[in-house]
Amino acid sequence: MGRAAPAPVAERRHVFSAFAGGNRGKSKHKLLCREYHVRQTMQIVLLLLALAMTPALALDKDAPQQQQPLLGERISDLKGELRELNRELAMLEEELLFPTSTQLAVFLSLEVDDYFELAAVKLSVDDKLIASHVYNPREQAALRRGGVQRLYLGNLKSGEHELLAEFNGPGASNGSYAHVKKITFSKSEASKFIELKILDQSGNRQPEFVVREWE
Amino acid sequence: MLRDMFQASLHCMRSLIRAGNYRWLAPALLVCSSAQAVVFPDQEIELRDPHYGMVLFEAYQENYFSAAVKLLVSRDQQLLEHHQADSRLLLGDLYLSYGLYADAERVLRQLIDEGVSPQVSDRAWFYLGKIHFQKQQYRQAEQALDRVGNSLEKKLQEELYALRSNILMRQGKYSHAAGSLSGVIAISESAELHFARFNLGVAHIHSGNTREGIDLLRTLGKLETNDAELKSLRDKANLVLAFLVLKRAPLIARDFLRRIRIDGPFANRALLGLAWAEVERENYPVALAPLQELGKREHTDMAVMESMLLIANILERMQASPQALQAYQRAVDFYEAQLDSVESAAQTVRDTGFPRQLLADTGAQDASEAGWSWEAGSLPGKAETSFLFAFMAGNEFHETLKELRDLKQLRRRLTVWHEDMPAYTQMLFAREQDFPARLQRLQPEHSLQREQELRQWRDTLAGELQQVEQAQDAMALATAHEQQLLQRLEDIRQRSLRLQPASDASDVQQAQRFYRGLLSYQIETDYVARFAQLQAQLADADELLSQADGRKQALRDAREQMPQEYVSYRLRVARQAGRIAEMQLRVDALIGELEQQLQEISLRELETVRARLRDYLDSARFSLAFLQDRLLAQEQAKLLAESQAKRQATRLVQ
Repeated sequence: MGRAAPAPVAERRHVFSAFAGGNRGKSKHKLLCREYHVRQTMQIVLLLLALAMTPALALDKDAPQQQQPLLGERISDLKGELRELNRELAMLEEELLFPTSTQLAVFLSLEVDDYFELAAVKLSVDDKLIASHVYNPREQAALRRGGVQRLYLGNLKSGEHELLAEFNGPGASNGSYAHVKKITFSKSEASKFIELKILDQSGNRQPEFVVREWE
Repeated sequence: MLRDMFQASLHCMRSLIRAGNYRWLAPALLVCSSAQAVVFPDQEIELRDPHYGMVLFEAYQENYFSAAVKLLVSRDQQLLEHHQADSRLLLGDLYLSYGLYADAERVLRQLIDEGVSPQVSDRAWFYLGKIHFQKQQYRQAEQALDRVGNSLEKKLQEELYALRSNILMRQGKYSHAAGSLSGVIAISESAELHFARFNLGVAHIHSGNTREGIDLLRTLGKLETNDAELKSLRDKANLVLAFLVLKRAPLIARDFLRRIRIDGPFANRALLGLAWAEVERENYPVALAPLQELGKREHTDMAVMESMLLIANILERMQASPQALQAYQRAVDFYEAQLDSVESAAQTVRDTGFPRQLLADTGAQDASEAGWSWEAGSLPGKAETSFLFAFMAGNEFHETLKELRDLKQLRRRLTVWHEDMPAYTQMLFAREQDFPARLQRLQPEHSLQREQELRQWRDTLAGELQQVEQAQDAMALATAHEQQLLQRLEDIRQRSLRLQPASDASDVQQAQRFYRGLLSYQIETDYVARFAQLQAQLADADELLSQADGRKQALRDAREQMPQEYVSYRLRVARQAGRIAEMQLRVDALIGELEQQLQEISLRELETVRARLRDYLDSARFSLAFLQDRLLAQEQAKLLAESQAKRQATRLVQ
């Protein structure tokens, strides 16, 4: 994109005429007017720039509001219906796949200071691996804030069973830490909920599993 | 550089949304949005149902939709018995966070009407205030917040003050808004309050209370902080102050502008402002320095574009005409090229819609459900995106994008459900087919008969125990070993009687009587304990028989009802499959409309950019022509003067 060669005198006059009306007697006045116009234009735009993220935001702030009541309401209504549909489907899924008579749910919670970061968990019942999970930062943060993860939902027949849980993660002083816990539990005709809480009971920076069977 | 600024703006905006998300239509606010809080507050309660914690796990990850669904399912399954009020409040908050304001309002009002604890009630009123604010029902919002008592959690109180301040500002009650903030600002320096202070400052300026507005912004402009969001807010405050006083007091404006970070989202505008401040002081050489820095930055930025014209203008004022001519020509070439790019970008958007790769992660499987968490992982360096950077950091884009993300996430869920439905149908069919065979394998009649036998046996044993009780016959409760011993002792007695004439027979008989007495004594004294133990065992047997009864009844019910249940499940699955298909169509249609809307507002934005470039180009051409004309006139005048001088010299010679 090269710069064009300066136009000959006749063409310059024509160009000038195109912009300034061809009256040289008013050239000084026009210069002042032009300068003022340019300066004002630039400063107005600058002020708009300063006061707005984009000028389009100021100019068009009403446009989305006018559309919002129609499209936005339809979206909200649809989301509400989708929520109900998802609820019914989730209920159906649990009834079909995990009836209460055989349902086993294992939950995981965390109550350890920042020195330990939960990396992964593995779960086995009767020597059979049933769940494993690797934690991303969002999940770790959610656990740290008091959220409880439903690590496993499945079916188990009534009777005595053995649960083996292991977790690992980086611990204090850049070391890694791992812990294994084995328990025996009894499954009846009702749903069984077991919570595995990782906490530092002794206060020695040695987190371990504490098991709670919810009634 | 512009990408970095865009990301910084995006981060700033997202942070502001997290802070309060209050719609503010005055252009001076960094950002405004109609969506609600992205950061879900910690629930400070003792967990007594693991399923409540499960819902919180989703909510803390901003998966508000999943959290709401899990909460509703758990509630239907009566798994939240210890968190009834908590779960309803949580549901209201989840609806609010997901943008379902009508549902949120309904849930919260029901909760309040039923009478709950002050902590729950205060929180419910606070959320209602937020909902009304989002719906721009400011009077109702103010009334709702007035119902909040003293039991609101501390971390929400600051948000309450900021929200109340914004509500008052929207109603033009600026002094009340200031009052709402002043008491809290004195004791708290949270981010929400700084943002509210900024809003109030700008509101004062817009309404003519310039002094009050400037005072508020000056405080913000000197804020000491390491927080990235607050640094951006500080920059913004200084920028607004600078341009307010630019004409009247350019030196003061310069001081404000010098506080703005050179690598922040407002750096370009600050550099341009610095140049203008020096122009106002007619300090032209100094004005060029910030413009030269601007010239190295992203060319699609408006401040950079304007700087091209300003450089030429300054050179003209410095009467450096040749350089000014070159600069104007450069500006003309630049604007023409940019106009071509904008037109090309607009054509691309018209042909292909909004840049698809920027929406590539919307609805991605592992993305958070919270639409506001979108980050532009990579920004393609194409014209259509470069010109839209500033727009993409703005509120309108993010609101539309949030809805688009939500709908795409929901569409993905529907696809999964749609794929699962045939599996459920097949599973039900298989179970239904297998049921009679399974029933046959279990031989329930055999089990039922066996249960009868066991019951009869139990009755027999109960009768015997009753007889023992009536007769107080302790010996009947002798163990097998004891009975064996008793029998042996009896044998010994019989044999000793036969051996009577023998010399040691009486000793044997005495021993036998002694051991028999000992054994009898042991049995007699143990009678009560043994009887009680047998009664307990009988009770256990009764319990097991009762369980068997229950199972027998369940088996009968299953045999009768199972076929009907299979039909019921099949109907449910079929109905849901139909609803899924219907929802998929509706979601697809709305996604299409939103993408269309995004395309339209992108084109509108590009048109705005084009119009501005057009203005710049016209100004540049006009100035170029005028300068050329003036130089031409000067040259002609010079030639005329030389010609006249020559003629005079010739006359003299003659």
